[in-house]
Formats: sequence, C-alpha cells, structure tokens
Amino acid sequence: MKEFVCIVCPNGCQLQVDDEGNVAGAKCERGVRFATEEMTCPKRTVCSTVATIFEDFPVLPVRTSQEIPKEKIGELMELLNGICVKQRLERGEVLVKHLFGTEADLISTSDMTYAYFDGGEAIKDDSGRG
Amino acid sequence: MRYDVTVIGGGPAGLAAALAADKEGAKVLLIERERKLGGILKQCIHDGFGLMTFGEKLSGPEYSERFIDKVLASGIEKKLLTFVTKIKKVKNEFVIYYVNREGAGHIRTKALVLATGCRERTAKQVFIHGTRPSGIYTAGTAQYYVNLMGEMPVKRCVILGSGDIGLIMARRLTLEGAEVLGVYEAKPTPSGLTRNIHQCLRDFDIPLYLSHTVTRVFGDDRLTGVEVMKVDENMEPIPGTEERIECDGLILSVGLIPENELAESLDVPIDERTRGPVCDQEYMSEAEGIFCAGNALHVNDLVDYVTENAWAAGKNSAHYEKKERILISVLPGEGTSYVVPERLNLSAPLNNVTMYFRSAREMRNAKLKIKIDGKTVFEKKYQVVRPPEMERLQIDFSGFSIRKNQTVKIILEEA
Repeated sequence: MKEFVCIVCPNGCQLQVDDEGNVAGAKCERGVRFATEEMTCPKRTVCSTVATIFEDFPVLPVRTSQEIPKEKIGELMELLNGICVKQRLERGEVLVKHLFGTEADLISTSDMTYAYFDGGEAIKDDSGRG
Repeated sequence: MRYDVTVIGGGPAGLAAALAADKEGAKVLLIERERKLGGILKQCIHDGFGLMTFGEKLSGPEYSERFIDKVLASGIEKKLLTFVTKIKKVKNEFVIYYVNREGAGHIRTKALVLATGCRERTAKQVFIHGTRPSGIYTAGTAQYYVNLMGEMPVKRCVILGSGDIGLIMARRLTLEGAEVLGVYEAKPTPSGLTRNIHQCLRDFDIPLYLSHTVTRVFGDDRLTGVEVMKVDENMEPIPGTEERIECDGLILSVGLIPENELAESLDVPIDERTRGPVCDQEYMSEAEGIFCAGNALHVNDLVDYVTENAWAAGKNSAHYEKKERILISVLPGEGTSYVVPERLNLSAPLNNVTMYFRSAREMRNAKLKIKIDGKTVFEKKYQVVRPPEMERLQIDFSGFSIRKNQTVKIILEEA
C-alpha cells in the first residue's frame, strides 16, 4: 500500500493505492489516473523561463504543454538554459515540438507583443515593482 | 472626467471588476501603478491557475492575459504608471487624485472598487535578530528577480515560513540550480496547500522542519548564515536547540496582509481578522459606494475565487445607487477564523450569498453550522477542513426571515 496527495487540483485528495493498483480516496477520475501514473511513470508539468534578447522582457515564461516524465525534468532545464528568444512571441506559441519524443511541446505562456503601454513603443522597464 | 466606476489596481481582481462593470454598461476607468496589467500574476509563472474559471491548469501570465485581452478589446479606459495619491468624498461622488508621467490630475467617480491586492510580511514583522546584510528577501521579491528579471538572488538558501509562495520558490530556485537547504515553519502544521508540499518539496527532496524558526541572521554586507531553533507549542524558541546554517540567502514566506492604505485614508472600517474592509454580500464596504475585491478584501489561496468575488463586486458597483442599507453582522464563531462577507444587507438580494471562510484549525469530519441568533438554520459536513484551504459556500438566506438586529454566526465543530 502506498499513499499520495493528489496534485491535480487544489482539493489535494489523500490517495491510497493497494498492491493490486486499486486507488482509494480520490474524489474524481483524475485522481485515480494520477495515482496510477505516480506508481508507474510519475509525470509533471514543468514551468520555467527562457532568456530573450529584449531589454524590456529579459525572460519569457514557458511551460510544457502536457506533463513530461519526472525523470526528464533535469534534462529539460538544461535544454531551457540553451534557449534564447530572438523574436517577440505570443502566448501559446511553440518553442520546441515533441519534447524528448513525447506529445508535450514547450510553449510560451506570456504575450511579448502587447503594446498597450506607452502607445505602442515598448520601453525599458525601469519602473520596478514598488 | 467623470466615471461611473473607477477600479484601483490592475491585477486579477481589478481586471475582473472592470470587465464586469463594463459589461453592465458602466463608464469604467482602471488605474494601475505599474506599466503592465496583470498584477502579481505576471511573476507567478507556475501552473495551477484557472481550474475553476477555465477548467484548465494555466500559468499566472496565461490566466491574467485572458482577462487583459478582454480589457483591451473593451471600452474600459486605462491609466497605467499612475499612482493614486488621495481620494476624497465630495457629496455623492469621489474625487481621485493621481500622479503619472503627464503630471498630477484628478477624476470623479460615482463608485470605487478597491482592488489593491496584498503585501508580504517582512523580516521586521517576524522579529529576527542580528545584522542587516543583503540576501534576505521576501518570497515575492525573490520570485520577481528570478521570473521577471532572470537573475538569481541566492545560491544556497533557507526558507522561513511554509506559505505557498515560499514552497513554489523552493522548487523554482532548485530548478534554477540553487541549493534550498530547508523550509522552516514555526507552526506545527504547514501554511501552504498540501499539494504544494508534495509537488514543490517532496518531489525535490527539500526538507520541511515544522515547529522550527529562524532566530538570528549573520553577515555584514552579505548574509553568511542563519541560526535556527526549535519552538515550543507557544512558538517560543527552546534554549539549547540553536543550530547555525551557512547560507547566502534567507527567503521569507511568512504571510500576506491585504493592502488597504487607501481604504484606511477614507475611514473604511477594517475587519481585524481578514485585515480587509468589512463588506456586505455585494462587496460594498461599510462606506457607501466603496467596493472591495480580491486580496485587498481577504487573502485568497486561489485566483479563481478572486475573479469570482471581483466580478460580483464590479457588477454591483455598476448598479450602485445611494440607498438605505439594513446591515446585520455575520460573525465567525467557534472553529472558524474568519468569514467574508462580514455583513448582510437585508435590503439587497439574500437568495444567493457566497460565503468564504477558513477554519481555525485542522478538523476531520467537521460539521459547519450557520446560526441566526443561536438557532441553527443550515448544516453541512466536511471530510476535512484546514486553515490554509479556504472554503466557499453558497447560501440562500432569503428563506430564514432574518430581521434587523439579528446576528448570523458560522461555526465549525468536530463530529
């Protein structure tokens, strides 16, 4: 018997998996799937940033479009360290297709093309956060 | 200029409030002090936002930009890089004074939505002794460095406090190559969501030390180490348990406090439990015409709740007319630490009141009771309630024939 806390949603169900792979404690199907995967091939969505050449947008947030095997996280971080974005991307654009041969892509999670500030001309962000 | 509704703050609460007011046909102004909209979500690049609102697990920027896109496509007027300096009530409207790059100015508005978010507690507020070296950051500041500037603020660090941002930064700093030596929490239970303990700490073998706190910092220019101690049940350090840890960073995740400087300047009554304005079920504070939304009202753990409450606040602000209110108190009783809204306006609809509350301690098989002048009118069972996890409940109060001067109390009992 193994115990997990489901990370699929904020409910955080306490899951128990017995030796036959039966899952108890999940409020929904996603929890059952999570526990089964956690026993066989644990997967995570990874969120991080990649460098850009733009002064007003020095790093672009990215994530995997789907979960990737947990054991690939280190390799993914190395891959991200080698990326430098040279054109302004929109939200959801794919930076790398089929990460490690999986169905997951690396996608941008922020829009670099917004020009609503300063009448269209992006300026260096010196406003700080204060 | 004259507006029906002015929203102060362009984070998730302000965006939703402005959109909702605009949808109701109000002339809306949105004021934001930074040069971009999105508020704190700009730097919350982790996922988990929007499961309730969109049925998807989005990152912070993805979530807020969906609302920014709508604001940009709407007729909502925006003032960015604009700081509100003073608000005055003149007859039946508010005069908002501001400064921005064009200089000082003012506008008039019928209703006001305060969506100013919250602030992090700092080292000063947790009484750590020692020198004042660099290398001590709130978790949000560390997050700003890493996620918006692409700079690493620490190489080897200790995290004090197990709030969600601290847990998320433990994972983030680890992924970026820093060594996170441990998360120290003075309370006997974690402050953050259970799922974050698992996916941020356990996944990366980062130890969590409960009933431990940081008592001293060392270093002149830069932090060189911290002293940690075990604490007793009153959270007092136990002599003899001192341990020195060499590190160049201390990250504080010791709680959030609603930001209500503007509300206080307007003499808006503040709830000492939530630290946000006391409000009714329409999210109007006790001051006529001033509405409040999001983390300025009470600190939420999910942005989806912020959007929900802000949408309602914005919608109601658009229909604001000065009318007499009959306000009765809603009080957190035994087993609960706070409840929002703190008032019910008997002159406004009572049939679909959303209540947000937190338990005072972890309870299994808990029973929630709503009492009106001591008489139980509603009961609900909960498998488990935990203080870090806010509960939300929709109640039809219209059938309870509540009268003036009665009091509603919300109670949690262990079955």
